[in-house]
Amino acid sequence: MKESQTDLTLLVQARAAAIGLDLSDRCLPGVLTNTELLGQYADLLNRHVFSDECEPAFEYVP
Amino acid sequence: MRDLSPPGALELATSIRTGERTARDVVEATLETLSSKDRSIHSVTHLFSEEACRQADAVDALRKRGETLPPLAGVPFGVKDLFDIADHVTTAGSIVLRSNPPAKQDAAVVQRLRQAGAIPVATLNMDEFAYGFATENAHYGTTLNPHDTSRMAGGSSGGSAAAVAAGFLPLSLGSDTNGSIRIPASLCGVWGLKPTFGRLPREGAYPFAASLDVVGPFARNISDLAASFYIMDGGDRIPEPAVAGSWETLRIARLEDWFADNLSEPMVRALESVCAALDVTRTVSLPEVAIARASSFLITAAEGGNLHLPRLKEQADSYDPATRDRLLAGAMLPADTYLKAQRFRRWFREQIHAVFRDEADVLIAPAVMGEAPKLDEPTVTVGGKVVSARANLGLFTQPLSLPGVPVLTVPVLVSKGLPLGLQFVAAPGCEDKLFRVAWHLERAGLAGCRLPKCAGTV
Repeated sequence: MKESQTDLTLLVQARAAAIGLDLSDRCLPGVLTNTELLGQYADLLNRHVFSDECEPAFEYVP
Repeated sequence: MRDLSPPGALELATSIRTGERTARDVVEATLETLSSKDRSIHSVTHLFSEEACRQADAVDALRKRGETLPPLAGVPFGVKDLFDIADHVTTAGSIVLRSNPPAKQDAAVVQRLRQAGAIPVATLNMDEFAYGFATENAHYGTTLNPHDTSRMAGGSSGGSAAAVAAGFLPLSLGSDTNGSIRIPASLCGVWGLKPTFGRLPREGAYPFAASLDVVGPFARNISDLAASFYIMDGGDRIPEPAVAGSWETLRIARLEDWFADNLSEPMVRALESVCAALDVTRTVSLPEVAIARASSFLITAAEGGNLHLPRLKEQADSYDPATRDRLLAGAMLPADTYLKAQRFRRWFREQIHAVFRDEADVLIAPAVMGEAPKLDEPTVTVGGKVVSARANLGLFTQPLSLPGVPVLTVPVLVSKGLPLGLQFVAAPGCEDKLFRVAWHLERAGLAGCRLPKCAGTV
């Protein structure tokens, strides 16, 4: 479900607070745009069904 | 366009070894070219004039004493502005790192090239912290495409591609996280190699996204590209070019579906011509390419954001605002999304390994949709919609970044317009297969570099 702009602003501000980041008003519009874009890519990824055995590729060997 | 190409790296090394030219003469001519002609494309950010001349003199002294010269003795090269050069501050296209101490030593791959006799002469422009496909840098300016200065050079290693395309340098280094070697190589019409993830050492190359970053070379011919790759790979000898016909035993296929849509007419013709020349009749479809691209994008955003978060908290306004806002959004990406992207990478790795096991040795795909976009109209068409080129030039490169496979950008010579590049993709560690096909195409006159009007002479 897509957040409204107000919801997205609140969400971004909450995420920023969670990592000790003080977002200035100058940054906010650009950060919102980029967060929305990343959200679209995350939606795509969320469609994929993983087996429990599929581990993250941290020690990655191609 | 002119036909007369400047000498390549190996050709220059031979002329120095045989005494036809001195290393000093070659380096001075290169520095003069970069000083006088680069203003037309703005690929250079710093020249190492004194150090380069000193190293050239050392090469000439070695030859005078009758000692054997290493394989690239006296050959000038440039580096993307994120490789450490001893005694210089590495800025990574930013002003944020300007007060850092100078590098104590060269980046590992620069060390290996220097040990082979090559001489770093310049740092080359890039998108700030390598986060972009345009080489439009708020601090150091925009690099222009040497073939048409009203068009994009591509990025983020745009200075490295443009300097080689213009004939200013025979060789340069770049880095590729989502396409930063392959996109500028394609738009500027030079050879560019994104090696297998993890194969070349990254020490001394300023990081962006550790899960995906690789370093690699640009060159004007495939022999120079392969030689520089094998030297940076730590080999003590450069393999001979493949014998004629050795490519014929390879199973070559064209990637379809995702990689066949959104192409310009010239790119369609280029793909068809190259596939016809290689007798390619098979097509291969990779699964879930859109998610592979998304995962690459998300991992990059999260790791890049995390890397810069401490500095962003202190001096966000010192960043290019566009870079800053991308990094900030990435830094706040939920762990769930990042972990899913890393799990998807594991899954996608299995799929692409199956393709190389069961179906093909080399896969062919476009590097970008078509010719370089105009700087004042930076758009491409995706899904019938006109969209930002800066955000979408990685459409075909990002999915292939995720599995870490080696990808060679091949500059095709089948159209008379602006440069077009194809991606040749192999299984991990199989760069030699890419070179075998590339040598055949170069010999057949189907791939190579054309010289633009602003070209330099070394």
